[in-house]
Amino acid sequence: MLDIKRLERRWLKYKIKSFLPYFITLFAVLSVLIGISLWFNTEKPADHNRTDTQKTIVSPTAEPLPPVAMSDHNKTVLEPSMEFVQAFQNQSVTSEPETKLPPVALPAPAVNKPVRPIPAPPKTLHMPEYTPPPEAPAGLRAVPTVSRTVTNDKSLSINRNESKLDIEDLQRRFKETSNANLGLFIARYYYDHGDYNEAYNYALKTNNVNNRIDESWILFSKSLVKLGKTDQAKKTLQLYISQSNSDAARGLLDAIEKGNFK
Amino acid sequence: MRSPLFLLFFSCTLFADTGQNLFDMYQKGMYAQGCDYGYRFFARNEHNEPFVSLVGFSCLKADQIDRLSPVMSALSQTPDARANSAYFALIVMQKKLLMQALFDHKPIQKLQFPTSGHLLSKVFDLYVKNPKNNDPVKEYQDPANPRQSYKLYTTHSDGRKSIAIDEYYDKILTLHHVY
Repeated sequence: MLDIKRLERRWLKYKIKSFLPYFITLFAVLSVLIGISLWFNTEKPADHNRTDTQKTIVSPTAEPLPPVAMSDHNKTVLEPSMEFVQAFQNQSVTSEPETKLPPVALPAPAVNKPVRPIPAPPKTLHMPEYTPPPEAPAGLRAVPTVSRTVTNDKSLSINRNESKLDIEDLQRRFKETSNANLGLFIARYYYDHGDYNEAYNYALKTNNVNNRIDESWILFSKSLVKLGKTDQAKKTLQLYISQSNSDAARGLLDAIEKGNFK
Repeated sequence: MRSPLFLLFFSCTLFADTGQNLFDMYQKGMYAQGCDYGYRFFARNEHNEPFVSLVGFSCLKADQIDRLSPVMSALSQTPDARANSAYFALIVMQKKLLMQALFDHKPIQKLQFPTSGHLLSKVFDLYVKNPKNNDPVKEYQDPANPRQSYKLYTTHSDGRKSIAIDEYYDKILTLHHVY
């Protein structure tokens, strides 16, 4: 009787032996291929880098936005990209074709340009139209006389201490609300009390909130004169006059140039 | 059949309105409100990269730098978005390093970082060049504009440790930032 199990085992061994040369050949070929590919990979990184850099040099026309630039000191400068704004502008144009959007105040994308504008007084003057001053020029000229009476009057000096608390409250409110009238009031207060640094500061803040208030620019310029920056005050006034044609500003400029206001 | 189409149309108009509202806020200079508004609708617009970028710039303008983290993670698909993502990441990183340096006296002078036009990057560069370790308030003059100077110091805002940068023009305080 045939032992089938033993025969099957022998048949399996025979089959394995018959396929063995093919397996060995396949394994050898595969290992050679892997070895070659590994050898190429270790050799090529330098070439890859070279081709990549060549691509970046050649392709700026194809790639529209290389946001990384190099500064003078070989330092990489990252810049924001503002092309996404077009999506909003197109959207608004398609949805409301008749309405015109005001110019977008974008964060400064330039390399050396500060993100926040330097509050140099002449640069902040951009007034589209002139509005009449809240007070008459004569009233403005009376401001120094008021300050003089304040400084000479002893009873008013007591009020200063009392109002110090109020001015802090006003400053807090101005910080919260950014109300130009409040800012102007605080600037006027500090100017009258001889604190020209703070007067300059608040007049500047007021001008940033609303750059059409005549008195604010005048207080700003007067504070500059008091701080010894007469040239800067003159430039500010000249620029303001050219844009607003303000009589009060012109009067103050004349007074500064003649030396009547120091 | 009609209701899904109506819902699709409604959701499209809602997204458009959200983006437009945010854009209007940005144009009006309402950066803090824009940042809050963008955050409220962030999850819905996460794949709308112009929207996400605008949220990022609103938060950046409002000095809310910690809110940039999800913004920069969501920007990846276009060159425009990747540029903004890298820009935001740089500013967040520089803020974090400055905080570690100021609060924990971690030396960061040897770090070589890219820079940007943002105030934090400027002050970071100035700090790396000259940390002024003995001064609690570090004062730096802008090399590009001698009339412009900055003060860098630690502060607490709403019970949280943060850093403050004051901008001075002719020694007069013009802007106060708390990051």
